[in-house]
Amino acid sequence: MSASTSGTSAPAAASRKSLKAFSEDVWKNKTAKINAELFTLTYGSIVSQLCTDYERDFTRVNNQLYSMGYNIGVRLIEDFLARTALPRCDSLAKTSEVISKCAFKVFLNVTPQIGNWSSNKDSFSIFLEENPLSDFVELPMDAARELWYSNIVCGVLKGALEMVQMDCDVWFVSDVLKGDQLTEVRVKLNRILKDEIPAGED
Amino acid sequence: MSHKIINPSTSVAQHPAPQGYDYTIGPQQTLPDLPQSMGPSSASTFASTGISTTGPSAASAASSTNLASGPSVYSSSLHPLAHTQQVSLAAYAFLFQEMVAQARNASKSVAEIELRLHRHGYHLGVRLLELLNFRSSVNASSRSAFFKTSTAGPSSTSATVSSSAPSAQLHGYHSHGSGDAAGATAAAAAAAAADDGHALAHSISHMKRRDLTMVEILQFVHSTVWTYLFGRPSDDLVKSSDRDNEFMIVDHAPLLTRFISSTNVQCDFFVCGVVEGVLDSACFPCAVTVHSVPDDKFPEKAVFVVRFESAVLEREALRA
Amino acid sequence: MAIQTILVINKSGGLVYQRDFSASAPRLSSNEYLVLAGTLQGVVAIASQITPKSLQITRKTGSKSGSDANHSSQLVPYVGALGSSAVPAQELGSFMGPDYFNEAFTSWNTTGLKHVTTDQNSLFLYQTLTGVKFVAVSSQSATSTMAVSIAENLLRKAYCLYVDYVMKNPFYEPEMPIKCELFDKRLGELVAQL
Repeated sequence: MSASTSGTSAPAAASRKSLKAFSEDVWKNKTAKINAELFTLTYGSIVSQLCTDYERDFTRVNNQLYSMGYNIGVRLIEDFLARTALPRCDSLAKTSEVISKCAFKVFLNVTPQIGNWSSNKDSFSIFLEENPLSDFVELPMDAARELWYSNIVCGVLKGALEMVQMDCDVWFVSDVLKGDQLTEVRVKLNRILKDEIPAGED
Repeated sequence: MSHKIINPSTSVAQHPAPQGYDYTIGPQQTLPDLPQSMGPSSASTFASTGISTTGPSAASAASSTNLASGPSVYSSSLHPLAHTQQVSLAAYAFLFQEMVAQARNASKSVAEIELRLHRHGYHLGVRLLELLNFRSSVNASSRSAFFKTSTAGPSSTSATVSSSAPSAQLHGYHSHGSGDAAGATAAAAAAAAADDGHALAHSISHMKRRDLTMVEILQFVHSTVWTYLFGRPSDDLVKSSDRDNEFMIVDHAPLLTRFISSTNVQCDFFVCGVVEGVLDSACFPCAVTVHSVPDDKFPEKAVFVVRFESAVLEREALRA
Repeated sequence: MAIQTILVINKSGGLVYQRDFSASAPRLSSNEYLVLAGTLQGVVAIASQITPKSLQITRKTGSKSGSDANHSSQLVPYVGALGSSAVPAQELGSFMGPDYFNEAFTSWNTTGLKHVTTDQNSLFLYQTLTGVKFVAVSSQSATSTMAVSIAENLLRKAYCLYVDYVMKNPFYEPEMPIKCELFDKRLGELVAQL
């Protein structure tokens, strides 16, 4: 994880263009796409089925969504890397930028805001103004208290970051579906798994 | 308060939103089929909403512009906050992958996995029939009129409506037929935009007729549903030569299972569920199964077999 | 360049995929392949350790001596659609465009082993950020940088196929041997293009 010099470490594409333009290009011209509603409805079907299966024990539903997300994350990161060939991030700030401007863009075509950095720069928040997972969703009364409808996102981030050797905690702070003002996902970096960084990188 | 002077009636005019059931009136059509039925009452409806909500969702106006530019009515959402029309196939593939994996962990047999996938698809299917029917009723012109005027902003809307004279004019437009008066539709739509976006209904002149025969409803699945789901119609629709109640929808390369090497589990049962959900909610009870029929040209070819229940055949015989 | 064999090694050094593409491919027993995978895993790590410190700091291109571990430039140039241009570049799963890659890209593997060359054949290695390794064995002795670039481009495409047809398959368990028909098929098509 050594800091690499700016010129050589950036990918050819990103050194010439900004990360944003680069992601826009990948999304626009190089990514096979599918109807977003189908995505939303399929996810909705998964969540509602879980609620039924677990007899509306929403804590269990949250956990299950998280673990599904984790399983997705450990696979999804490979797709992300193959697609973008971005180099390893040398700081958490860079990581957050890649997550918001590139990862969310390339997969879901949204660009959430990053903010709320902790003073020691080890945690930040992702503000999902738009969330394709929860379009059209209104939670029933009982679910609104406990269910984190989009909890799968936390699992995905957790799994994906772990695969690039960053041990993080990811959780929902608030969700507009519960009546909050913002949808906020918190990411906290615990440590970098130095031992697991593949040999040959630095 | 001008609208009260124009319309002192105590009947329909008191109800700005024609949606929903009102026991004093009885059953009402939610979507106006005939422009006459909108009469004076609807004009006052627009007037009242225009005045009461002075600042109607300015935020939604911006987002709806890009919706209007969509290539086809099926491909985009009319939801005012639906910002993204598409997500990456990869994102969907991962979600699908995990759904299958989960069904697999929770099941003891292949049939059970397929049943679970089928159930997930069914959830979607029952929602699609009305949605897609509604969308195909929104024709392009009324749609763009709706969105264009709503982007023009709330200011213009309220300006038109707040004085009593234009509202009378609105009334006048409306008693004409729906056929020519594009301006009227636009004006109506503009006013309607104030009404939370629900009132797109006002710009729909005719709801698409329901599909009543097996062939019609299958055409609907073959073209509309398939286009909605996969961006193209299915490759073929065939009637079985052996059995009267059996039809086949052919897909040369099923999109959702494109990355999944064939196993003994048929992941396309999800799509079966969708189809069955659509047909069931249209009152065509049936069973849908999928079979992979690889040939040289299309190694991933899948055939969805629809078997209608005998009641459907009997009904159709009666109608004929 | 005739590719004889492609291997995939998971991040803990286990062989998860092995396939021969030509009849002349060396016939190793499955045990020998496992040893090869483990050895490569180790050599990559050691190669990165024996890189002189000065080179690590300046991050200049490595030795040109043609020895085992040859550190070529970090940036891998784009070599065009692989193979003859008469064949239209095939679609690469969910990776779109006439050719998904049309730019040079950064190799993540900066100080590890990249290729091994003997007089008769050569072996190329592409390592991803998560530690998965793709290995190609070619029947030519190739030391030119061009050959290395072609191999890297090829293996990167193999990575894309792996992402589509292995990672997106719900019946594949991570870290386990890959048994995916579609991956086999697509990889075969990719190699046949060369």
